[in-house]
Amino acid sequence: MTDEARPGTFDPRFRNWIAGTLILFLVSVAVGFVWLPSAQQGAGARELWTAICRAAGLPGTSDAASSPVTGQPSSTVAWTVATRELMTRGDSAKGAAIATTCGNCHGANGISADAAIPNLAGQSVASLYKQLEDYKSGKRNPAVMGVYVDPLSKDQLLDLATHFASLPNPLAGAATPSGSVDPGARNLIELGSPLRGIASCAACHGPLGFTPGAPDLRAQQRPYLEEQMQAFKAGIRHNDISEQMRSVSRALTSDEIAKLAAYYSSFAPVTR
Amino acid sequence: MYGSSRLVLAHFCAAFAVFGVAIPLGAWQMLVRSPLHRWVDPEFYYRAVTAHGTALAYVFPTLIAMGFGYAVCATSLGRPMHGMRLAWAAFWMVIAGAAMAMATVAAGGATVLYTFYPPLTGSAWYYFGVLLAVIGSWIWIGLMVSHFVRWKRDHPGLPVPLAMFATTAGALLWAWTSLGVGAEILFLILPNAFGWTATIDAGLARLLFSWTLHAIVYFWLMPAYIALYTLLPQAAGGRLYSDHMGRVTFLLLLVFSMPIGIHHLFTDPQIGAGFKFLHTVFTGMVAVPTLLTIFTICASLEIAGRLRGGRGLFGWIGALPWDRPLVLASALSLVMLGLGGASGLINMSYVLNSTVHNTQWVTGHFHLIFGGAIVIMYFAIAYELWPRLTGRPLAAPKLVRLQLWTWFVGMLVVTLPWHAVGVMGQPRRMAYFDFSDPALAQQAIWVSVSAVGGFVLVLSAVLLLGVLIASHRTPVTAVPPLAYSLAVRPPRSLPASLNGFRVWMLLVVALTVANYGYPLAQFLFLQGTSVPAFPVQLR
Repeated sequence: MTDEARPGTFDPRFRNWIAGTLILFLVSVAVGFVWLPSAQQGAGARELWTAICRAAGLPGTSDAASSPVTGQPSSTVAWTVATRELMTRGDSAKGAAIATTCGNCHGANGISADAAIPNLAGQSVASLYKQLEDYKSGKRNPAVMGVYVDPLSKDQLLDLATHFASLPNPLAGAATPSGSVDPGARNLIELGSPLRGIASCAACHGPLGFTPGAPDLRAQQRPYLEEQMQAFKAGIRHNDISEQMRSVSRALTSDEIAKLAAYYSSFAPVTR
Repeated sequence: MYGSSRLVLAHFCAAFAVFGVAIPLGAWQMLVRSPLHRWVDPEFYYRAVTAHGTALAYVFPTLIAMGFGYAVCATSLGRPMHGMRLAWAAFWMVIAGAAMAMATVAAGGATVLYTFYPPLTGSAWYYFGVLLAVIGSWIWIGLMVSHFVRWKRDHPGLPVPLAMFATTAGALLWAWTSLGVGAEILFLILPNAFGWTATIDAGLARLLFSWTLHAIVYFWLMPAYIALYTLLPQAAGGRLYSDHMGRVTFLLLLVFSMPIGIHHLFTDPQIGAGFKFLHTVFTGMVAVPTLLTIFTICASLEIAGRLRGGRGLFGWIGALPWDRPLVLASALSLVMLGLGGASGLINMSYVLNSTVHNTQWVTGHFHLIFGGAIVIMYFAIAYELWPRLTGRPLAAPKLVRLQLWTWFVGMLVVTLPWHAVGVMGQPRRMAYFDFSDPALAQQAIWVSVSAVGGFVLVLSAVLLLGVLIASHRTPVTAVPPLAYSLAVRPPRSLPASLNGFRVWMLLVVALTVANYGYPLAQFLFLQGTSVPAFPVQLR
């Protein structure tokens, strides 16, 4: 070794290493933050700053970058943290006072006597509230329900949802379906059909998992379920936020829809 | 070993005990999700995956790095260690933390997988266990740095032995890189697990985890590289081609293995594309010390082969002492390092990554690199150290070679099919697949083959444990002390840049600030980026 250094003295090699690393960094920044984003299609020289911001992970500030939004959202409800916190603030007692009219069709205990009208008792606040607000905003066909929900405020809708959610769950004593379950339906419920882009029903509607706003389908009315899936399939009903129910229903055959509805309704509700 | 034998032996025994539990779990997981077995309750599958990952990613390599660090510290510096009580305390902290985390997983309290990505959250005991083990390893870092500093102070102007220099580089690397996961657990996960916060910033948590996630692999790699540079040339009967090259390699690993973790977040929308590119470039830089190592080690082996009478272009390869475990293991390790490195280059490429992201390809890659190239060197280190720790020769040298070969073959049979099905699109982390489905049917044969490979690895693990246990019963003989390789030109003194870490650590910190500063600040200042936590523990 000819280039020995005394301990503690600064080694000139450091200068080279640091300079080399700095050059590598600057070149990478120039390529990654300036050249590549500005070379992308549609990014002209005037929008260079926008391109740099985008590369850094900031939303663009230029007007030219924003494209006009077409189409309408499928629902005015969004499952933000604020909405989910709101779902805990309903007043069940106030809801009960409003619910007297509802009982005529949905049953005083939330279990409907008419097979075309859904059971409401014991559903989650989120799933009940979303449908009420969608009827009010017209996102779900308000032909029947519109007249009832229109006079109510959002707070009242929330109280109403909280009331029906608090009613005894008809599934409290329900057992798994008796008799033979159609294996095709069971596969769809537990596994979905990945090849056809059908997710497992149970992943959102329970018992594998519950996503916000997804109702528990067990012990729901069979004709009602079948009619709703057909409506999703035909696009007549379209208030599913991410279009997941429309996508799934479109991929299902009418026979499968009938079998799924039969499966879910075969949980016998316990009326009290 | 200057009074450190019991300490080193305790670390290695504990590490291999954990290894012995975790390997059969891995084989079982491969079996039950293959077509050779019916489906099992996913709950048990994910418990097993979490236990396997936690044991083999956090506990096993940490104990090996600590134990080997103590061995290097005592033997390369040639004097008894200080702070033995602290070292034992650190050991018991790692053991206690490991036990706490594993018991929680076994009880179903934390099936969050070893990466524990929020918003998944498990029982606080799991995170406490991991944190305790990490804190135990921090004591080891302090001891390594303190020995390094004291030796330099007592020997002004002399080069620190390469083995100790590299061990300290590994300790410093772990010190800086473990801060990410430490901060994630302390500031994001534990407050949520205790119920103090309702929501958790999953993006920030993933970013902090990426701070640790890639460099941790280089922390695992350090003992393997130290053995390649400082033990292998001697074992092969030659000399290290260049001591300087070794130092440059370890310094480059220290500098470049940390500010690159965002290459694990290529599909995370909350990170800007510019930073993903930046981290891709710096990830590419890690190939430099790896290529330097392959060159230097091959050159050192050629020197050994020619000294042993090998002639011609390739004749020196046959002249190498292949019956020595370290020589055989190193060659097998380099083959796996080459294959795993190649798949790593695909993972780190921003564009190619999108094809293999979250597929079984990734699992294949890290099993080949860590489980293969690195762990086989841990075996070789154990075979080198055991006679020095027990004063008895290794039992059954033939079984030792069989063990290394079965590990090599088993690991290739496990991981090459994983790469194949990954390219076919098989996602990782799934408890079962319906192979009767025509779209997946073509993967069935590959998955079955790799499941068989899992049991070859179990056989190899049994051989390893058997040999090590039997080596405590062989007759006591005079075992030569652990000898480090001489370089072709041993340095008499070194420039400051190759004999210390002060300026290098400044460079590490500066690069971290440059590459991580803005993405971190963005998360800290943006509002509304948190989501409700998703607890997975059984109630």
